[in-house]
Amino acid sequence: MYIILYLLPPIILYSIFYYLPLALDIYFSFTRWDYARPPVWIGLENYVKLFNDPLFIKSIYLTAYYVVGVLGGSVVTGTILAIALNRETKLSTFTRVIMLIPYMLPEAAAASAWFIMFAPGPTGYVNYLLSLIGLSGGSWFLDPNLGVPMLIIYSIWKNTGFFALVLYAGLKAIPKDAIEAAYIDGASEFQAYRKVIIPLLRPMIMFLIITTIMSAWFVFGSVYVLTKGGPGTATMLTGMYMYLISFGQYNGGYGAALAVVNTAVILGFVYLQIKRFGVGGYGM
Amino acid sequence: MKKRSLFNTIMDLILILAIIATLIPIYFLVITAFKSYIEAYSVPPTLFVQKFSLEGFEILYKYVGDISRLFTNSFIITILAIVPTIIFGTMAGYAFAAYNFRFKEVIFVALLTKYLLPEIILIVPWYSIMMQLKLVNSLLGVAVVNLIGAWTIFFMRSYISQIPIDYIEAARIDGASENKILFGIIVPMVRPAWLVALVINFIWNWSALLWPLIILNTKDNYTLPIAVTFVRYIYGSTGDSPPHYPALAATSLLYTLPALILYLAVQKWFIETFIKVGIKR
Repeated sequence: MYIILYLLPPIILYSIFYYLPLALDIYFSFTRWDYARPPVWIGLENYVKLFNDPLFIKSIYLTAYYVVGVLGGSVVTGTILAIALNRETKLSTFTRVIMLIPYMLPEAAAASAWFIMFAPGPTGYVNYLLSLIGLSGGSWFLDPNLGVPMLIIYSIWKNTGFFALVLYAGLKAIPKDAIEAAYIDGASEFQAYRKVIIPLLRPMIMFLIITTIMSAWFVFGSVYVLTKGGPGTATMLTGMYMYLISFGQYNGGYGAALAVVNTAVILGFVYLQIKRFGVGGYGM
Repeated sequence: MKKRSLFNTIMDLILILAIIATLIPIYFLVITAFKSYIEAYSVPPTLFVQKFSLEGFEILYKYVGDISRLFTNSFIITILAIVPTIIFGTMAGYAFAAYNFRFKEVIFVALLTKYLLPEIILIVPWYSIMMQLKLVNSLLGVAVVNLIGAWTIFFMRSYISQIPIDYIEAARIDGASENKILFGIIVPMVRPAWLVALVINFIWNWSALLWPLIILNTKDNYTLPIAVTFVRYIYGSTGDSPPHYPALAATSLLYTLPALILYLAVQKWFIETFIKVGIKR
């Protein structure tokens, strides 16, 4: 009796604002809808259009590149930082506090800070600092070739602290015996980490990848503040494209079709990952 | 011995590098917020504020209006969402932690999927629902989709299942009702978890940009992140349009402060609880 009472709020709210919208997404994807007039049923037209839409193909390609860069980079920086933290020193405690700040900063503000720091031209801070050591600067976020790599570096900066905290918690949970045994066998600390400790972190890394892959695939806030998909369409990642179609061009039907296809692609990918590697032990 | 110290030296260097890399963008944000427009566009850029100026804040006021209203709106959408999220999350977390019932696993997984799927795939249907509910351009419309959180349910379940079941059994034998157990015994014991859930949910709702950007369209309803994007694009709507740097920095700084202060106030406690609950399998 109480179970129903306690579970009722999430079940009701989920049905209205989550399961119903998922079903509506599929319905709208078969319609033309500009929000002003009622949706018009057009069958598969949106889906046919979608697979002939060069910008959609480009957005998938750019987003895949972005996701791989962010995940790969954050796992590497997060692991290195977690290992560096795993010693009881004052510096380590202090870093633990500081490193989470980027994760806690609201996206729009953090992205603004990066936009200011990497301002193009001679007025930009980074360009000035580079000129001091004899290097020429660039346009960074506004350079068509650098836009996506810059978004990747920004996101790694934003994620690293959180990745490091989860992996640090994982390091704490590794039995001391496993590490001691490696030292007795004559391993240096570098070797102990490479051969014994990092392999034991794999479940945490899998957890981080699976939970981050979705948010990275549909990244929106930072792109909106930093480049708005530009210059031209050089940084048109999926989330930005979905927003522009749905609420820049008021094409709700096509926007819904984009949502359906992207969700299917990414769920399929995650399913394969889980099937191959497992969800990982982290709290699951 | 020598290898050990080499390892420690490298690790200390990595930590120092991490601290610098973390703080540099924030430093540039802060100094730019207090520069004048002319100083922000000087060549070469000044690395310390030469002449303290509030021009950025004035521009924000000029274009967006009453700054305190931005704060009020941001706090309203955040509090409207957080309070139910934590109450409902505790109730549902308790149900999953302390009972066995039919379809428990199925319901749990069904709730968890929301944790994985981001809101952007739901924006078109949400907009249609808000049109039906007449909540377009209202703060309630922003908050109403965030009244419950999968992560909070999951987190509360993890925390409550660490409480020895004997406490609950003993209370049941004494004839306490389930509501009494939940609110009299469990709730006082989960206060540390509440603080973490509060901080995380505050940060998430405070950061919300996409959904407010879609349904809030008059200045009196703007929240702080909308103001940031508005200022970012006052001089042109494409990504390569140069903003008023001091105004962008000033707005971002105002927006950041509450989140930063909250985090720094609870950080020690936050990290400890996170590690304790987080590593439980």
